Amino acid sequence: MNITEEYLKEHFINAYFIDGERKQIEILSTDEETGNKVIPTIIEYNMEHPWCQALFKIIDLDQLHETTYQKLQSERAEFEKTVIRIAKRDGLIASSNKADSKFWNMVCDGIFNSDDDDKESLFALKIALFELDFIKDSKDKEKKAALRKAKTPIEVLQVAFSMK
Amino acid sequence: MAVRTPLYWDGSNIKEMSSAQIDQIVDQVVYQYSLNPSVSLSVVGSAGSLDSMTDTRKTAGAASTSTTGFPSESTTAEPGTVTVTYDKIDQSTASTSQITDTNNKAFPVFYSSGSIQSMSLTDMQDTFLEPAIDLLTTGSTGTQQAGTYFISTSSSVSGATLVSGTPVFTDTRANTAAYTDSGIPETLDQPTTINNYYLHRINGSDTSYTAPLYINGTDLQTYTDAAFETILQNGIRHMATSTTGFRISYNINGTGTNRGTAMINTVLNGSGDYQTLFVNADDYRAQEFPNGTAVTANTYYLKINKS
Repeated sequence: MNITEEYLKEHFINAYFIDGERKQIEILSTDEETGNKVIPTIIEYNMEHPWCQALFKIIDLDQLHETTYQKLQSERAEFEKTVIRIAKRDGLIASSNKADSKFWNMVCDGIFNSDDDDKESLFALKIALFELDFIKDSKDKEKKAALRKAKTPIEVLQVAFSMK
Repeated sequence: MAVRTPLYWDGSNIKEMSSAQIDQIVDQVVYQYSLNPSVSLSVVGSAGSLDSMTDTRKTAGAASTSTTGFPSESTTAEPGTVTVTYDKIDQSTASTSQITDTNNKAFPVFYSSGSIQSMSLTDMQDTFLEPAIDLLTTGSTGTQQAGTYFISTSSSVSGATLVSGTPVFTDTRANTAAYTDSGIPETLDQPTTINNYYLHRINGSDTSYTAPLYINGTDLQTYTDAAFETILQNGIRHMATSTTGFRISYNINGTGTNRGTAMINTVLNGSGDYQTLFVNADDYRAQEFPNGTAVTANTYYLKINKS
């Protein structure tokens, strides 16, 4: 493969700087034989080199900086997704997809392994339950009072279940 | 410097070659070189003559265990580094002999002040061989660089021959997806290959040209292709190995022109992903996995040089 203007016109996919100093450029192109394989080629940003000259016949420096910016943004988004995925995997944040997370582990842990002194969690559980329509709109004052007075998550949930 | 204009027989007259015709002979010189390069590269298992290159990657730190609680991040071993050295490109230079100017008339003729004269060895070099060396040592990798080498991430490149299926360099990184907290203690080194880099030799293309005239005894005669091509091949082979200023050599990151893609060593730049695993009340585990984004640690270019 000789990187020429003609080759790039047919096979060029993208190009961007890969280093902070912006001295190295990665060119992505398709192979000449099948056109299906992506070939990464890294060249020096050196306008005396024929490969670099060929590249700059189909893309200018502003475009190269723009594609570099886009790639960095894309990598950042991918990195953030990875962090969130790991955090969900490790139960650091709850996943909306309950089947794929440790959501139920967290629920069970909160119910059955709760610390008796953990008043804040108990209060948070009660608040969450009172936001549910069937409890919020319930006319059963006795059960609502029982729910408020419950001392443990199990007691709270037992009252809630009886109201459903 | 004496670049001559060789003479040729056009079927009815003796004529001076055009610059295009001389260029065609230069292209034939390149082709002749490609048939039997005098400076060649090969892929060896180790201890190649070109400078070595290193690929580094992060590994997990050793796992820590405790019977009372999770080992803290500060006491858990930091990720390590594995270094693999690639020293696989070997250069060899053939033993060659200078072409002989038998009776001072072995080479093509040219007009000189109204008379016809044979080119000297220096004229041959200036007219045909040096321009060929200039072409051979540029950064392009087309047929005008036939017989020389370049690097590609692909093992199959149109117009070139793969020197070896063994990569001359491989960039690896830690495979972060392979490390899980449930697997603690994880195997420390779990790499993934990012790119392989292969050595290729550019194929030649037998171009047509007009053979010049030379002095055979007392007559002018057109060279046979075989006779002229033997002179060209021997001349270019010897110049590439022995003529100061035109000797071809290869190196890594030294002087010369880049040949093919750079070979980059990328590595993850994180300081470690601290993970824990609760096995039972007497078995708490922790380990730091490789993490971060990929950054370039080293950049290596195969270079071709004339000196």
